[in-house]
Amino acid sequence: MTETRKTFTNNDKQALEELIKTYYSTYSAEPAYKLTLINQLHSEITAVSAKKNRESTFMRMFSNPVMKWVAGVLVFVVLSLSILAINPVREAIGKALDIGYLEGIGFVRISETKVLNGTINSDRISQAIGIDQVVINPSGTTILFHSTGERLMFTATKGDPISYIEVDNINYPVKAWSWDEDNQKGVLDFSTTTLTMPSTFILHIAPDWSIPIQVIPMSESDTVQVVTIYPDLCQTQSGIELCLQAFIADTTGYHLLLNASSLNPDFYLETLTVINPLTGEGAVLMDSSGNLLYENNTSTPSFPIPHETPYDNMDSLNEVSTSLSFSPPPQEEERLTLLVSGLTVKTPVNKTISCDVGDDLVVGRTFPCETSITIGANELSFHSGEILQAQNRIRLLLVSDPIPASHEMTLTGVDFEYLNGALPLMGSSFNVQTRQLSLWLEQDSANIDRSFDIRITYGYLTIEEPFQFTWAIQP
Amino acid sequence: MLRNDFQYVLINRENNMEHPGIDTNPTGKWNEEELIKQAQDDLSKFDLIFEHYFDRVFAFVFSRTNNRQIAEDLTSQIFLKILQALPRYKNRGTFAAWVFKIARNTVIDYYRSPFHKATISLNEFDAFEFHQQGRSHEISTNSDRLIDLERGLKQLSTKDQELLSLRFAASLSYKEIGEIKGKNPGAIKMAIHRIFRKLKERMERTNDRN
Repeated sequence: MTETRKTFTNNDKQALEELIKTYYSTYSAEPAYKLTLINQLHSEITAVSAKKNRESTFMRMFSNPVMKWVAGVLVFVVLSLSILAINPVREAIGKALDIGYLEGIGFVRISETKVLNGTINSDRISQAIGIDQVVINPSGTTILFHSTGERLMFTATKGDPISYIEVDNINYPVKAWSWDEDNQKGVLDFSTTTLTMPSTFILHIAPDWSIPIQVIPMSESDTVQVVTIYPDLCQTQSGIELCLQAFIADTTGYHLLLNASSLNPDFYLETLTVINPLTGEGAVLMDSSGNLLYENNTSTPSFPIPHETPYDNMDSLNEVSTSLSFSPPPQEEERLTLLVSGLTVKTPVNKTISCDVGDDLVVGRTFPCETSITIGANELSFHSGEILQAQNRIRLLLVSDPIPASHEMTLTGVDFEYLNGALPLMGSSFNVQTRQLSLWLEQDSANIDRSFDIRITYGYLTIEEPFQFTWAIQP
Repeated sequence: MLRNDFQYVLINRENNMEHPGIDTNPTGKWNEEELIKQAQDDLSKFDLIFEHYFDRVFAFVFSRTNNRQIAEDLTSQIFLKILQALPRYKNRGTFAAWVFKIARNTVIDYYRSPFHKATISLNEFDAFEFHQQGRSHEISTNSDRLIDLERGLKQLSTKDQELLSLRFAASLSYKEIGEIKGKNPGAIKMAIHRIFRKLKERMERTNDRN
């Protein structure tokens, strides 16, 4: 079937440009939001100005030659004292590193978090709710609650009201919620962040059920828990430094904060997973004799650490943290060992694969898709794709050659994007046995592009060498 | 009084007057370089940068997320980042490109975040209703051509949609988009021309089918 190419004149272009401009002009902000934002930014202006002034005073101080000498001597004295004071375990209060811990939430940055200052109880005829904690930080708002009586619903079908937060007459609906039937506890998540949330707001649970909430900076709260920091428990493998930063015990278990940073500027550390996907092994906690105490194969989502100079290298985050939870270790234990069997990190690739499906859409037919890419010393080669399904929906599969084992890091996954017309459903997987990477795409037959390009955006590299940390449990 | 300053700026911009605290060049035009220098020295002048970029940043973010509430959250984050990074800003390219690099990265970070993935898992109907919040009225009360255009835009790749957002929602020049994407302005102009052609063909195809 041949397709005639239609003409595209300057008049067409101008008309389309005008239409597009009209279309994008509908993306406008509410004046109330704009005013709220500028007011919030004004309070930030004061804080940023104060910080800037402190920095300039500090810098001015060191422009004086005498002060330079004084500073030099001071640095020497501090370094000497530090060397003398070296001890297998160093302690510091979590606040010094701006890390706090909230039960049910995990490790958080104290300076960027607002919390509740005590439980809030509210009840109606057949229902009662207790707001146990409210945590607001730059990634969102989380509300922990318990409830008795008739079961509460927070999202509902069409026409019914849903729960929301009301701030300055603007309503923010609940984004996700969960309920633990056994413990009668639940979690509500909202997208509102530290910046958009004032200290007081109203939580609407159901029709006519409103609960006023007041939060305070976490630094002023009694709920700040001291965490023990280990600044020297770090190890480097294949250019990635992994540090055991902090631990804390609470009623839910024993929690460790791990921090990874890249010493190689090419590795994009957006996520840190302490699971070796090739073996399925996670992290284990061992006693002083090397006996296994507990195993953790569920790495919690990592949170990125704000960087010092974020916009000099805008496409990379080079430091991430994750926390691991175990059951509390036996009280008689004095030393513990954490063995992390592998790490997975993300690295940019940005290479394109061009494929030509052709006109004959028959199940089982293969089509050319030639490419070879090197990702962190791993060679990824594709030669062809296969049509797996060809009726209303077209499903295509690309399988790579087996990826040879690498000494440094093993490629265990990729992210990719489709560069042509309508976005298909797509995914990728890595077969541990055959060491082959598969990419699949599924699209409506009406939208299928006969030739298409996909771009491998990121590769996931696994470090299989183990990291091991040993430390003493604090009394 | 920062707040009063801001209100003053709003009122006087409407009256086409100049802000008394800001030095303008002899032609009275927007002198961005000078303004940035002044705002770096005195952050209370950040208001004018905010005023100049707010609508463009919001439109860009809204067009990339199609969700008013998320657009508001991300826009707030973007201006906070700009404010915090402004004292360290070095004049290496155009300021607009710097602002929209921050905006673009914030949107990318949002799509990568676990929060975004959690949002997808919500009841699809609610999510759809929510997704449409705020713009369905503008589109539905406008011409059929806009509806065709919206359909055509949705069929474009993410990359193409982003280019159009940078050009028309953010109102950036080819040079500024080139700086953001690391390409020369000619290549951007050509890419947008190709998108136009693609868009027109798709809109015509939809019309033929109807």
